[in-house]
Amino acid sequence: MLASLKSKIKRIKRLNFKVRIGLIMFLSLLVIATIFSYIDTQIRLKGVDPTTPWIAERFLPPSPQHPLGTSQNGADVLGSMLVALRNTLIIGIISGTITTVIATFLGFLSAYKGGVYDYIIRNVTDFMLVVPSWPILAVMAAYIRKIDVIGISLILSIFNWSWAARTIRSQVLSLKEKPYVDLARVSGLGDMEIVFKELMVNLLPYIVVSYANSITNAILAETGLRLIGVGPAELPTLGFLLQMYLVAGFLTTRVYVAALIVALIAMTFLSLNFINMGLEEIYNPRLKKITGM
Amino acid sequence: MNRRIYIYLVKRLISYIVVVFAAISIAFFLFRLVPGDPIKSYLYQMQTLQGFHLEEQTTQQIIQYYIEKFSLNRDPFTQYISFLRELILHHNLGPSFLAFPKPAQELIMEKLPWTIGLLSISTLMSWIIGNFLGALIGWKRDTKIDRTIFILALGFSQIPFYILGVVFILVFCLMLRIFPLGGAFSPNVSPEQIWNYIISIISHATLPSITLMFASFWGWVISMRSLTINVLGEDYLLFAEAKGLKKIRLFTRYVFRNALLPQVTGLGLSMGFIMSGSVIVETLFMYPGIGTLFSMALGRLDYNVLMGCIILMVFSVATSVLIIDLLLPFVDPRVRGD
Repeated sequence: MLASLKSKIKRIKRLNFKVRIGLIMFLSLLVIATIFSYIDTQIRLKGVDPTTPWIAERFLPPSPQHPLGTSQNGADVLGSMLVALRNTLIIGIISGTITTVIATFLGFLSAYKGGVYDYIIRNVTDFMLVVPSWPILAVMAAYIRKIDVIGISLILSIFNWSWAARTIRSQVLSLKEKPYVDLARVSGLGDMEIVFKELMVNLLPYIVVSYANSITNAILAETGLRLIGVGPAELPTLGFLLQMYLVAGFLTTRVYVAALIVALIAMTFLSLNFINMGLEEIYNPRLKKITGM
Repeated sequence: MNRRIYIYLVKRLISYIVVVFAAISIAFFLFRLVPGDPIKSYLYQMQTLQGFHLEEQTTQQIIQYYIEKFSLNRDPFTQYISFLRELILHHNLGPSFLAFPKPAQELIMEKLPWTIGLLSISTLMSWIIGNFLGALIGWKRDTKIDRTIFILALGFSQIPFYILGVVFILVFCLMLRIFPLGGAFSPNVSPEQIWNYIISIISHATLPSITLMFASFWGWVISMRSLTINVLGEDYLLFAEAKGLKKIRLFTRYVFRNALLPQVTGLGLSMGFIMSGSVIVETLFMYPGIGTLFSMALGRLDYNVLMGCIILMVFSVATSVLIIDLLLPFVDPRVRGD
């Protein structure tokens, strides 16, 4: 087992090209959204939150003080974009983490314990997959007026865990029949030890893949929600800004602002999808054989 | 065998009813748990709304009627029973808010044809073209055409469709001005000028439709390609080839047909999502369908319309899954188990 782990680590070390590009893109987006945004706020705006309304006149054209001008409520466009990017990424990461934890727990419980647990979890998962969860999510987000980053991430996770739970469940099911699990059980290891020492280690790749997937799904759902105008204005994200600038008519008056936001959203998804595709290739070589790429 | 099919059908029908019923009930109670009690804020909003085209008295009468019909001053469980009674027996959702005295169900029925038209045509077209292209490049696997289209498909399938919608609006509506934006037809044509009317409808639906097709098209291409490649490895194909059948016959009768079956199931599933899949696209293009109605209702917190839309969405997904499950044993002998 150690040998197989070593070879896995080796494979991760020479991470394939797609994962590397995706990671570099994602990390640089994170750096821009946090460090660069912080410096920009401190130096250019002297510590004032760029999303504050009436920081300056409305609809100012670009100037050294406001490189991308100001929006319809007089907030600094460049600064708002960076803050929005940060919020989007943070929501994605937090929600992805919560989703993965829920899905891993339920997947393990369902497949390892079996019986009643399995019956209930499997049926709830199937139910969640059939029900169009996005509209329900939208309605909830519309009614809950005061919500912070954690709250919105939690709601996104509640409607997002079913796919991941299903994948992890099926993997645990196939893994727990492996001889080394029997061996561990015979040699007197407890359930917890087996789960963490034997199963979790081997499932890590799948968990990582579903983690990356969950982040993508959370950002996809969140951006979609904001784009139709749902969600708190105090928590600007890329979708919210895009919607706001569309309403302001920036598609005709200031195309570069709209284009920049679209580019940021596209970059976010591109980086995540590169990571997803690369990880799938590493951990699922069969896929490569089928698709031939 | 007949008996087994009967048992299967009955089981399937029961679980369908349970799923629809459970989903509606969960939606109903979920919204009572949301902070800020939707019903109360709804009544409050209605009371303050009175007026711009209605007498205050009429407004009060409607509100009173609504409270009585739906037992809104009673406990949640009684409300639930009244809600179900009105929904099932009278198809009544209560007054809407967007077009005040008008009942929510009428508003929804007005918008429904546009969404069904737009979405079913887009879904079908995307399915047909996508599968054909996928089968073709699978058939010609490892050639230059296959590689280019496959890489394009991988790339495009990862772009969120609403981003594409924004780009389409920018390029085709605002910069090139080829397609009009907003509405289902332009206000200055009437249904009497039948040709202008049809052309207007088509030109308004083109961009939303292409955006929606983009959302699913590349997925069909990718999955059909791998299904085709799987079929290509089968023995019966080798035999058919050895018999000396023509290539075109091999492709249409042996490869395409066999690879298509899982995709039929997929088509059924995505037909179920035609109500819920269009919210963002319709809103972006201001297309007067269920999606736009839904996001407008979200903005005004129009509780009854929202409930109606969600019921419709749950219903359409569950029903299409049911139809697939009922048809599958007749199409695929393996499911029948004989």
